[in-house]
Amino acid sequence: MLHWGFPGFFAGLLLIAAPLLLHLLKRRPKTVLPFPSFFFLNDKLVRKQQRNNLLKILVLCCRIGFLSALAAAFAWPYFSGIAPRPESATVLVVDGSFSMPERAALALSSAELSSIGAAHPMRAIVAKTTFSASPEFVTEGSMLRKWIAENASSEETSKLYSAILAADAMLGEIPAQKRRIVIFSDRQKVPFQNLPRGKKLRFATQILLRTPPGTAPRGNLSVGMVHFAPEVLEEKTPVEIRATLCNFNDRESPAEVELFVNNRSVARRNLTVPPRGSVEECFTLPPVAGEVPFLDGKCVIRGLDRDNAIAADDVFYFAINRRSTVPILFSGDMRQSFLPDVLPLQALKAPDKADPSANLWIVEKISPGEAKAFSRAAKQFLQQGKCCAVVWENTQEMCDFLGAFDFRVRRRSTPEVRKFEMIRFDHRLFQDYLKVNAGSWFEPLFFDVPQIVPPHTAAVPALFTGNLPAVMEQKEGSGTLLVIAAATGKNHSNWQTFGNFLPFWRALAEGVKQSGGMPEHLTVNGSTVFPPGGESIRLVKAGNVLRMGKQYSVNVPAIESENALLPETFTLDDWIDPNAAGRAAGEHRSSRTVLSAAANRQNHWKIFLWAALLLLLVETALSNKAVC
Amino acid sequence: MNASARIGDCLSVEELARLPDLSFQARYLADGMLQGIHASMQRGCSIEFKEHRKYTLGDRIQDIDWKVYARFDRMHVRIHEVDANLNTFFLLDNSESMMYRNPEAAIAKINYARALAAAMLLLLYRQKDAAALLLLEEEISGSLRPSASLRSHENMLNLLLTAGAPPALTENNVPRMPGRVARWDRTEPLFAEKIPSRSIVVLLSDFYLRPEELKLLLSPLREKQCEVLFFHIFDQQERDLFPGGNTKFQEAETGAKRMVNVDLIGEDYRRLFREHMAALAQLARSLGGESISFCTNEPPLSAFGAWLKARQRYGRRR
Repeated sequence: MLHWGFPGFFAGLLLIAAPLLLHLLKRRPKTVLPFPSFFFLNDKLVRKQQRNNLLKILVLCCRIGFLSALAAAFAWPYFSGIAPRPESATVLVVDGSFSMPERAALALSSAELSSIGAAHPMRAIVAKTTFSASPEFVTEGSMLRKWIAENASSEETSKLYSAILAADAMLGEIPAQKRRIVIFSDRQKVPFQNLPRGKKLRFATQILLRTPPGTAPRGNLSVGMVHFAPEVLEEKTPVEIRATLCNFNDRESPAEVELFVNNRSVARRNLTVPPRGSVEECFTLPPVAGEVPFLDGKCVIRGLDRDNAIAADDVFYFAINRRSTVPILFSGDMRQSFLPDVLPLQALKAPDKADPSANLWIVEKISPGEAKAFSRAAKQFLQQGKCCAVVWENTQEMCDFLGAFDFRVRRRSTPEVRKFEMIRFDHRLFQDYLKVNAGSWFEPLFFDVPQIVPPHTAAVPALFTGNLPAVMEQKEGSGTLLVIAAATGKNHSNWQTFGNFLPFWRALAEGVKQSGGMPEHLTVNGSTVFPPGGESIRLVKAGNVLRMGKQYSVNVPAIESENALLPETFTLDDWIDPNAAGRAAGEHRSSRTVLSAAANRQNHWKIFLWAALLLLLVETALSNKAVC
Repeated sequence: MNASARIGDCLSVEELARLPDLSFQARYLADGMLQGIHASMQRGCSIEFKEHRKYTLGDRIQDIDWKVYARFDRMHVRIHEVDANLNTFFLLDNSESMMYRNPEAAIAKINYARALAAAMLLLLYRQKDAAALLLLEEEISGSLRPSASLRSHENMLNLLLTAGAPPALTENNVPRMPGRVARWDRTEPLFAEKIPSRSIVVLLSDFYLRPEELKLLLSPLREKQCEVLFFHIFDQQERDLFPGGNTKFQEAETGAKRMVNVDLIGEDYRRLFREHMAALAQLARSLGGESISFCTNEPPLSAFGAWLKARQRYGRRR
C-alpha cells in the first residue's frame, strides 16, 4: 500500500487548475460565427478535428499527470503493506546468543509467522550483544523469515532486555488493537528473574516467552571470579589464586580447570561442580625469581561431562602483580574505575607532587577548582617527555583542563541516537588492543558521546561515527598527551570487559616506560587459547565461541553470566501495562509518528519523478502534433 | 489598356454596394462595363443588319464599315440584330447560404449575384434579346417564357428585388431554422423539358452541391445544344477560411453548429474548395460552357469583363 510522508505537498495539485482553465478557455469560443455551408467540412475533416480534440485531451491529461506526479514526488511516497489500522501487530524477539540453536530459532519463528497469518504487521529483532531489527513492519511472513535466517546466527551473548524494550517502542508505531511481543529463547542465562518487576512495557498488550520445542535448556560452566593474593608480588613470594567456578547445569558436572600465566600453563586440576552452584578452587604459584614483571593471568574451565551435549567452557582473564617498578600515576576514583584492578596505580592526590620517576599519568577525574593546577602539572610532566593519558569525563573541570591544551568541548547535549554507533580505529595500538570488533558492541546510548574538538596539531587515531574524535594524540614538547573520549567507569559495557582492555594499558605503560613515549606499534600476546583438538582460537571479542563442539565464553557481561536457567513457569505478564491499548492507539495518530514511520522507509520519490518526466515528454510530443 | 482593367478601375465592390437600387446598379454596370466591349452573344448567318454606331475603342476591326469611312471619313461599326430564337435563362440561387457576408466584406453574395443578373438582363434588353429569370429555393419561382419586352424586363427586376429577402423569423424574432434551401432536384424538369434548344443558361449560385449531381441535372442541356454558364459566387471567407483557432460555426441553411479549429483544417478546406472549383469548371466545359468564379471582395465585373472580352475575341465556342 502506498503511503505519503508529507501529504501536504498535494496542495500543489491546485496547480492543475491552470491547464484545466487554459484548456477550457481555449476550447470555448466566445461567439458563434455564421457560415454558409458545411459542404466542405466533410467527414474527413471532422474526423481530423475529432482526432485533434482527442490529442488535446491527452495533452491535458499529461499536464495534469505531470503536476500530480511532481506533487507526489514531493509528498515522500513510501510503500507499506500495513493496513492503516490492523487488528494485531507482533514483534518477534529472537534470542541470538550462542546457546540458542539457530535451527530451533528458525523453526520457532516460522511456526509463529505461520500462525500469525496475513495482513497482520510483523517485525523481528535478533538480540545479540547488541540487537538488530528488521527494517520495517511487513505482512509477508516469508520476508521476515528470510531476514531472521540471515541474522539469527551469532557467537555472542544476547541482551534480551534491551531488545524487548526496543520491541515495545516499535509497537508504539502501530495503531493495532493487539500488540504482542513474542520472545524465542532457550531460557538460558536470561536475567529477567533478577530484574525488578512492574509495568515495564508501554505499548505491548501481550508478551509471550517461547522455548524451541525439543530442545531442553542447557547450562554451562564458567569462571565467576578470580582473586589472587598478595596483590603485589615480592621476590620469592608464592602467589595464591582463588577461582570461583560456577555450574549452570541441573546436575553436577565434572570439569577441568587450567591456569595460565603469560599464556603458559602453570596448573591444571580436575574437579566436580555441584548443580546450579559454585566451588572455589585455590591455586598456589611458585615464587618468581628476580624482578617480578606484569603477569597476564587466565583461568580456563572445561566441562568433562561427555553425556552433556554441550560442555561449556569459560575463560577469565585477570592481571597478576599490579605493582610496577615504575609507578603509574592515577588521578581518579579508585573504587569506580576498573583501572586499579588491572594496573599497579599510584593515586596522585596533589598534581604538583607527582612522582618524578613515573612515566605515565592517567587522569580520569579532576577535583573541582583544580583544573588549572592539573593542567600546569600535566604540562610540566609532558615537558619531561612522558605520557599523560586523559580519560574523558563530562565535567567542567575536565573541559578547563583540556582547554589549556587547546582542546575545545562542545557542551551542548548530544543528539539522541537511536542506533548503535560504530567506532573506528586507525592506529595499530587501538586495532590490536581495543579491538576493532569491540566497536560492534559500543553503545552510545549508555553515555554521551563527547564532542571534543582537538587542536589542528593533534592526531586522531580513533573516531566515532560522525567523525567525532574518540582518541586524540597531541605532542607537547617531547611528551604525548593522549585523550581518550570514553569513560572507564564500570557502567560502560565495553570498557568493563577489562580482560580485553588490560593488554592495552599494559602495553601503554610498558611502552612509555621503555621509550619514554607511546609506542608506534605493539603486538598482542596472551589472547590465544589452545582447546583440546589442536585448533587455536584467537579470542578477540567478548562472547561465546564454538569450536570442536565446545563453547568458549569470553568475558561475558556479568548480568548474563550470573543467572541460571529460567524456570518453565516463568512469565513476563506483570510487565504489561493494562492501559497500553488506549495509549498506543491515541499516540500513533500524531503526524510526528507518521513522519517517523516514513523516515524509516524508503522514499520512492524517484518513481514519481521519472513518471513526471515521462509525462512531460509525452506531453511535448503530443502537443507538437495537436493544434490548440 | 485592356477593357477589363478599365472596368476594374472604374467600379469597385464598395461603389456597387453603395448604389441605391437594383435598376441603377444594373445601368451603372451595363453602361460602365460593357461600353465598347459588348457584342451580341450570337453571331452567324441568321444575323441581320440593324444600324451603325460610332466606333469606340475595343470594337472589332472587322465590324468597321469601311464604305461609311470612305464617304464620311468617320469610323462606324455595323450593328446586327440576332434572330428572335436566342433565349437566355437566368437561374439565381436564392438559398440561405447566398445571404452570407463575412463581416469584412462590403456586399453579400446574393446582392453581388443580383447586380450581375440585373446588369446582364439590362444588356440583353437593350439588345432586344429575350431573357427569363428564375429564382431557385425550395421551389422555382419566375416566368419560364423568355421575353425582350420592357414589361417583362421590369417584372424580372422586381423578381430580383425579392431575392435576398431576410429569413423568416420565429415568434422569438430569431431566424427560423432551417432556412431557405436550394432544391436543385426541382430543376430537373426545367432543364429536361422547359428550356428550349440553343438557349443560354446562366446559373448564379455558390454551388453547394456535388458536381456529379449537377452534371446529371444539366445533361439534357447538352443534348439541346444549350450554352451553360456557371457564375460561381463566393465570399472570401468561404474560399480562404480565415485562421482563427477554435471557431464555432453555424450553418446558414440548417442552423447546425460545429466547432472546428480553423488552423487545423484550413489547408484541407482550401484544397477541397479549389478542387470543387476545378470540378465545376470541368463540368461547365463538358457542357459546352464555362464556369466563372466571382469573389465578392474583388472588383465586381473584372472577371466578368475578362470573360466577355475573351468571348468577343474568340467567339462562341460551339
